[in-house]
Amino acid sequence: MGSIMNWLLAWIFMFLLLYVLSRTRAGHTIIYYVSWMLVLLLVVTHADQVKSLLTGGNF
Amino acid sequence: MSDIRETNMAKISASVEEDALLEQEAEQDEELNSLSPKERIEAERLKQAELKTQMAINRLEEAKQKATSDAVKAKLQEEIVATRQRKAEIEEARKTQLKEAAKTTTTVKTASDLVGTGAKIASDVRGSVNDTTSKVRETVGNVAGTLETVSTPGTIFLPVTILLIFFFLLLPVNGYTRAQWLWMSLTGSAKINALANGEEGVGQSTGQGGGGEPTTPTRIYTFTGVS
Repeated sequence: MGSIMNWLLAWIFMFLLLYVLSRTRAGHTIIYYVSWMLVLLLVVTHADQVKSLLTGGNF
Repeated sequence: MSDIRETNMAKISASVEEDALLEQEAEQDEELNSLSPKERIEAERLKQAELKTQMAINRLEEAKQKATSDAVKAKLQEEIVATRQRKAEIEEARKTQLKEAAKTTTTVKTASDLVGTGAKIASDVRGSVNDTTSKVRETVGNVAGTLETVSTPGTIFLPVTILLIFFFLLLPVNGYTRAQWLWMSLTGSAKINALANGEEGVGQSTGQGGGGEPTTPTRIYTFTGVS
């Protein structure tokens, strides 16, 4: 119960933050660049999986 | 010759005394400025009494100079001494009054200075806080303005879509990606045991649904007692 609530709260907070940021042009810029940075981070940390995904591996 | 010399010496000492008296009066006038009206009237009254006494002394001394009889001179000398004593008492009373008035003025001045200093500090602090707030607001405004001018090629949906794809297809949860779990759920290859009292359960993927699923049993925890 505790961890579900934590999980739920974390998601709610994240969406709230996204909503607030999306209200302004500067917020849009932040979301854009942060998203790209996350993409790069995931590609770097899960390089093997990305490779297998792209080459049609286990899916 | 000696008479002329004595007369000149008397004139010089009188002139010096006069200057000293004028200087003293000027100092007293400065002190009077810091007093309240009532205290000032009292101080003026005492000063006038002192001056009158001095004039009486001067008259008595003149009379003594002109007197020819020794008895008259002695009597006049006694009166001069008494008048000088009276003058000293008046002078003492006036100095005491000025000292006490100065003490009161100092106390009141110190208190009002403290209040003024406190008010000044408070207004300075308020001003500093306002300055800081406005500077922060200005900085945030500048940063927001700069961010608004930065270009974002393409739309925001491209990186968000890629992230969602990674979220579903790349990040494993309990051995499988979310997409795999979704597929297994849809094809009936994955089950979640319904449990009571928070016991651990085992969800099994049988590997019989879509091709290639492994058959490793996976623990899935279900939470009971949710209110």
